[in-house]
Amino acid sequence: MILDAYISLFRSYAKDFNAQAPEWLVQAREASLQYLLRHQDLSEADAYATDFGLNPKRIRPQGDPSQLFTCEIPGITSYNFLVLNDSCFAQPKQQLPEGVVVCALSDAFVRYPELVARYWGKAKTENANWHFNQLFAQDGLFVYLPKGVTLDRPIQLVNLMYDNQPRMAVSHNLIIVEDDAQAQVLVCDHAYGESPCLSNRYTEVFVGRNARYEHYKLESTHREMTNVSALTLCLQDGAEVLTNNITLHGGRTANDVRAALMGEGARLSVNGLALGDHDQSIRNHTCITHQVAGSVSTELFKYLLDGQSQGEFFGLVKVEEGADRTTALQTNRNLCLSADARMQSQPQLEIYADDVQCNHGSATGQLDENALFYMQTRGISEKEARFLLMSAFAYEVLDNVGISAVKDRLRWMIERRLRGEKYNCATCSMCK
Amino acid sequence: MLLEIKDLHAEIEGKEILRGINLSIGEGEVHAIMGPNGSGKSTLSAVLAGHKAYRVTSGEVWFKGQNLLEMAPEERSRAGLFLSFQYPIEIPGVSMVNFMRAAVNEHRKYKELPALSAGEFLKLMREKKEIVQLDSNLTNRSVNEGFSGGEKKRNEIFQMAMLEPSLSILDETDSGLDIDALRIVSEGVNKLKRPDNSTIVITHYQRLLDYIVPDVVHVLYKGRIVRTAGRELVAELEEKGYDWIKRELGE
Repeated sequence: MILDAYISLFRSYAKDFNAQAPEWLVQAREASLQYLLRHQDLSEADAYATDFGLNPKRIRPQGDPSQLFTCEIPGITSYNFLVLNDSCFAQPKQQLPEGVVVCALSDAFVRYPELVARYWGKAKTENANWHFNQLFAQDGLFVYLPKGVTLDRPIQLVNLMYDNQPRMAVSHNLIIVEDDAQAQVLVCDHAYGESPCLSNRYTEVFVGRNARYEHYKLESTHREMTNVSALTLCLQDGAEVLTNNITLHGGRTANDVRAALMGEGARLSVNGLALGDHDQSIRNHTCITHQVAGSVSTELFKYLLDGQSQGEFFGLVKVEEGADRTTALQTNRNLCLSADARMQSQPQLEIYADDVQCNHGSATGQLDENALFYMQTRGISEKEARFLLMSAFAYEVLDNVGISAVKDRLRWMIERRLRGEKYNCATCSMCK
Repeated sequence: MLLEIKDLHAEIEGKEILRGINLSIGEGEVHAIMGPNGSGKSTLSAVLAGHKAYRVTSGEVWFKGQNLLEMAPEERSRAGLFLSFQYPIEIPGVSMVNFMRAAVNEHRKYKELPALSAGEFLKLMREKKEIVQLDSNLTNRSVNEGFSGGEKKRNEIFQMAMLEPSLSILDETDSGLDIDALRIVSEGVNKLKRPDNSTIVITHYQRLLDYIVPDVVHVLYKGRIVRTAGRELVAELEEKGYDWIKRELGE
């Protein structure tokens, strides 16, 4: 079985993997081992067949990790954190507002054991991704915003794969936003090197009453990268959450977004944009559960697929019994730019309540030939006309980005990407 | 000659639509092309603009001494050809401003002129919008999206004003226009008239030609020009319909 090698690796190094883990986690990992022995419901399972190296002893890289990578989005000031493969480092000398905690999860195990224990796994979905992550994740980002606090600037987390050997990185982020608090998190996935690598990253987010939370994830990695990520969200009464997953460059990407609208009047907007070429594979799976009456969710996912790239969108919206007056709108639009690009779209609605307004729409097609011709008859070259149509298609998703510096940067990156020009993230020369 | 069409044959999906068109248009001339439904009027304009669904099987088209049929649609536009669409296309997400700026700057590049600054461009837009009384809000929207039929046609003439073509083909610009809009649109076309630019007006009806007065009138029927005369032909067609021409052709 695919995971056997990893399970025996864990057993051999259990002491190291558990070195910083609290007792309840050590026990939970035992259950995860049992689960993985019985189940194989793992995303991108065959990618695990590569003999990836893990880092049980958490050997730190040489030098100052914060100097390895500086992502400079013009005009943004943020609290910066780096997860280098599997270990979290804070940019030095950052003064956080009173009561706010943003630190490495490995530190939080020691400094905030009760908070971690109270929330860990409470937003999970029982599957192999979760258990694999629970077994191997030793670090990640921990965020705690107490009641009523608005974070004055976004938190930026850079997940960087950095090795010249086949490498796997597992990390876990735990984000707690208490009632009436507000936070924005920007996650940037990057990769350095040319060897195959795999990351399994799990993010649990708890959003309290009337709290607001925005989560952006941008992937710009390389073709040897398999990037498996899960984002699970719990929304209490009146909570407002916006998520946006932008996939620009990568090899195999599997994003899973699962949200439970547990409180009345909760509002959720889940979005994604995927630009695929070569033999890139990009999956976005979403599962939104409306558990109580009067909550709203909207979804917009768009794919632009070129080359032999493959896209997949599975979106489930579940309206549970009693969740009356739910509004749920799901949209998936895709453009296949080449004859070999493939898109699979599966919208699903399950409704067990009354008086709901639910809608889903999915369409996959090519660039509008009539629009191209119309623009050409005005003197615009076919190439430029294609660019205008593609960027118009893509930019719609950026309407759902609430940090203007990030939105501007994404427009810039998408424009370069669609024009086939090289670009990198400011001072970083790592991305292909 | 500005435009010279010699024995032009064209087909779509294997069906021949144009069966030997001959037409010469000089500088400063206004030609009307009339004819019953299905005679090939819109096909002629699509072929001249370079629509790739149509295949030219034989014949030649010369525009300002250049072989038009060898040129891409955008090259034809930059060389001075303009087609006002019968059914203008909606382009969601592409703003009128970005669309027009891309077009104007491509034309300027062709003429080896520097691109317009944002300020210069907006000033030009304001001036040209006046010509067809185009609502300012429309240029802030996506191209033709949500425009009424009349607004779309005004937008075509606005684009014509922006690009200053030497030959404009107005493909049924009168269709879908009420009488006020018709007057505004045709007055716009007349304001853009210069001694060196020419117009082909394709229409079913006399009413547009009351405003845009042709020098020459052609009747297209079954893919051929079967009659060419002065503007008096318009009134004759209006009175008698196309049947007398069909009869004269022995049908």
